[in-house]
Amino acid sequence: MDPIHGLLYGLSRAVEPQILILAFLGCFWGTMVGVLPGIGPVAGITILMPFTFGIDLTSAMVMMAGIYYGAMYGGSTTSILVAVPGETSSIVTIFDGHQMAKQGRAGAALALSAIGSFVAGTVGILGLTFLAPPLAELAIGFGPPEYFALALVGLSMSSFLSNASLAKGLAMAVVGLIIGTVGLDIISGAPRFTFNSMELAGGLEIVSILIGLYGISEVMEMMASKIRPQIQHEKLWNLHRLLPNREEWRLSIWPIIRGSFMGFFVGALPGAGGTVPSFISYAMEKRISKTPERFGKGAPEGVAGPESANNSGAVGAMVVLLTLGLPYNVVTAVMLSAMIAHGIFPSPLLMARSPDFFWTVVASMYIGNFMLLILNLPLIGAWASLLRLPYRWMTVFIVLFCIIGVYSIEYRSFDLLLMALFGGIGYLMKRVDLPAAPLALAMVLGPIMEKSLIQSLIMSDGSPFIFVTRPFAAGSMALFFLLMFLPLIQKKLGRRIAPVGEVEV
Amino acid sequence: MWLMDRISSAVLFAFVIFYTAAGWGLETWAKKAPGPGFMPRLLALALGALAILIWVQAKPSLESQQEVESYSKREPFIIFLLVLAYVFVMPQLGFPLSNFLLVIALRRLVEPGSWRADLAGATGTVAIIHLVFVQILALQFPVFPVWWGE
Amino acid sequence: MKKNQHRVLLGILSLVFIAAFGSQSQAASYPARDVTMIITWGAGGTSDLSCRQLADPLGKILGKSIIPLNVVGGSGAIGMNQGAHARPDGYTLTFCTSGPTVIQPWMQKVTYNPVKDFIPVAQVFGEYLVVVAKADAPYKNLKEMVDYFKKAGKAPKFATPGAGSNNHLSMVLMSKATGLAMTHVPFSSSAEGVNAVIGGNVDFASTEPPSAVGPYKEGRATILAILSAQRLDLIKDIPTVKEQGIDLVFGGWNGILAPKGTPKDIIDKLAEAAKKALENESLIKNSATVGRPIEFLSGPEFGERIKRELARNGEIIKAEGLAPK
Repeated sequence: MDPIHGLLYGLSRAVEPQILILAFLGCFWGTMVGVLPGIGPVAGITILMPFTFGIDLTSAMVMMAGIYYGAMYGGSTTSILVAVPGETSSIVTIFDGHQMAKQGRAGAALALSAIGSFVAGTVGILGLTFLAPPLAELAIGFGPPEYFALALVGLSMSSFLSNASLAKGLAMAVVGLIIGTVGLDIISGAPRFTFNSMELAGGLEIVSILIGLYGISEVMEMMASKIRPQIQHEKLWNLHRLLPNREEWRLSIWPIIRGSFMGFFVGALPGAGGTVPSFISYAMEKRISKTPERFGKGAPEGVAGPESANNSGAVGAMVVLLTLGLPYNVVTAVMLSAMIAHGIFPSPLLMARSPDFFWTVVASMYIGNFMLLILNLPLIGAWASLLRLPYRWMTVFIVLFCIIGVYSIEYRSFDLLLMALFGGIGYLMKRVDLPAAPLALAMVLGPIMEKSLIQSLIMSDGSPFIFVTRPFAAGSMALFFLLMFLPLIQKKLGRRIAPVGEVEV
Repeated sequence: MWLMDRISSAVLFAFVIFYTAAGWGLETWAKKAPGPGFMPRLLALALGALAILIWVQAKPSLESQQEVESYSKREPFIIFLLVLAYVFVMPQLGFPLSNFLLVIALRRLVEPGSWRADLAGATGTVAIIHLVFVQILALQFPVFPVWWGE
Repeated sequence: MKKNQHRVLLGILSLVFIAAFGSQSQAASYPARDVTMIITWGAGGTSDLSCRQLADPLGKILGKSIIPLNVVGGSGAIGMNQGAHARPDGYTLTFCTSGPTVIQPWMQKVTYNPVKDFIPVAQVFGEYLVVVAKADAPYKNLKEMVDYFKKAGKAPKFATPGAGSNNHLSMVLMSKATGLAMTHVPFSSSAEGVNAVIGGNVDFASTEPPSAVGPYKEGRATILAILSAQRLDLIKDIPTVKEQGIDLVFGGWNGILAPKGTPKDIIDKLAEAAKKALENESLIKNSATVGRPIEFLSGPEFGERIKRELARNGEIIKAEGLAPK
């Protein structure tokens, strides 16, 4: 289906009551998740995912997408008001957003953030609409060698982009790969590391581990760091003067546009999602600006740019998922698990095979974007007051949701045990600065990678040259080697390309 | 971070040894393609090397002693124990009862308030959860404790 | 003292009565409540669909609902295990497919015995596999493909949803029947196999009709043959292997099993109900759309088939060395 027809069809489906309601729920929950510090989109989607098993995949996907970009909207709220990031892609917003709030311009900052997010979201979805179909056609010939190469690149980039040293990032990725080897080997059927337990033979349930790693450990972290966000009340009143003045608008227009386009393409890269684009946008705006000294003191560009970039980044990440079926960050990895649980394996043929699914999801993203604009502009006061919720309720709420979510996957206590254990492990990992994102991504990409490797070698009758003779695979492998040896090259050249901040997404 | 890094490295290395031992019997190569043991061996090697690298890279930290101490150790640990306890207790006691106990325990841990508020809150929460998840969404949670029979 | 002794005696007598007549009244009143049917595959898959299609008319005939329960994992072994060890009161049945029942016991260490732990109630559906190739492949049916590769002296690569699956075994048999050597490339699902074929990464794939129909109708794939004795309604113009001169019929099946120890009258009642359910008009139509024609076998006949195929598969798997060490 060509884009225009597809979109029109999708819109006709996206306005059906069920889809509409689920889109709204997703956006609502996403905003809430974004506003609440400690719970990011990963935890938000993972916790809600088991509940989506009962509904059809299209509705489930609509909701999950809503949570994803909704969180990108909501994250700025706490950054601006309380200098605590709602989730990692909003860290940058603190720098100038909170300063603006202190100067009484909280409303303007929030408005810029919301409007920028809206514009960027729309740009991103348009990109998805028009770029995804040709990309999918291109990728039809992708076979095991390409998937192996892409998975390898994805894993290495996520380690590269994490906050800690490359060694730590890679180590976590390898641990994730190891976790993925537990269970029945896909190719030969041999049981691996199952210790004669039927439960282990099924493999370690990824969602349980993720909920433990991102949900339970966050609760433990919240308890540990005795910081509680305090909203100073006088700031809330300034929300009534909501709109930015002309000067702020003038300064923000180009950052919004730049952020939207850049974010989309960067977001499609492995390990990026919404976080990396926001960092890049901030750095870019500061460099381009003729008055960089204003940054850090309340420059509107420092809010508008990053907040736009993270929204289009989220959409960009979904492009790779929906066209290639590869999850390039943790959020899309969870979405992939959900799709598989519903029996749909995303692949380049997904669009051709289930145009219904694809176009409905895309169309509902447009609608969701509108919903979010409404949710985030006029209702911002309501969200802010959410932060005054007593901490004891939040803890209870989150823990219960985690438990219910995990148990409802397969009704096994074993999954709960996994969740608890990884909650503890995740917390310890935070304490020793071992990044969680490479581990999470590796758990999902690992099986794909191993399977593709073995399949490729079967296809080539044992010759490893298959990776070199196929152009796309060869190119990706080259990229992989480049990334791995980049630190060494850097040292030789004497320069340092600093890894961008903790990429939780 | 220095001590932490060394500990992480040691833990990872111990894990590598365990993993290698567990995967001892797997075939590395089968019939012209990697067998089930190929990836595990490769990963064990990689992790071992990385663990050593982390050990070597451990530097004395710039983080002050104060910062490290500002993290309370007691509460996260209790939460962990509570969740763990829940995992073992729930199949025996049933869903609603376990939730009730968990809510009370968590509330007392986080911000002790009045017992009445806790009890009321717990009952309310459990009731809502039961209503929404068990009745409306029809998820199959074990409602009754094991010794009640089916 | 005497009063108490009376009471105890009465109590014991009543218990004896209940025990003696209880089981009989059980059968007569069966089913007194809803029946759970374990599906060893995931929700949304073809087996899951088939079971639910059956559950509807079957439940109506029995007068209570049949509630499907998905117990996934281990290529169906986990669900089978649960079904084997369920209480033999007729309220937990297993909707089985041929893979977990007669193939998996040879492929992995399972904790159930397909013959000893179950009582076969009835076979309900047949499952037939198709062979799929790319639309612009230089061969239009199975015979042409075999000739093409034999002449070229190459072994084609084929995709299946996994090692030890029905699909895999069927291709092993086909290799024997045609004398053509083939290389097996395992994937994780039928859809992936079909994608690999369309992308030109493998030469053909063994898959179930529902996965093949879509691409076939879109013109991206051709179906070379169907491994059944007769043509399937869903894809009427696809010839069978037999018609192309290859002596091979490989069929899978779906059936209902009950745990060993379930009373005979309950089994009989279920078998009766199943037979009648299979005459239901909409079930006949629905099962055709997923490519699983209705094929009824009574309990004893079904049990015989299971034993036979279990033995046959054992031979093939041992001979070909398909079982993982």
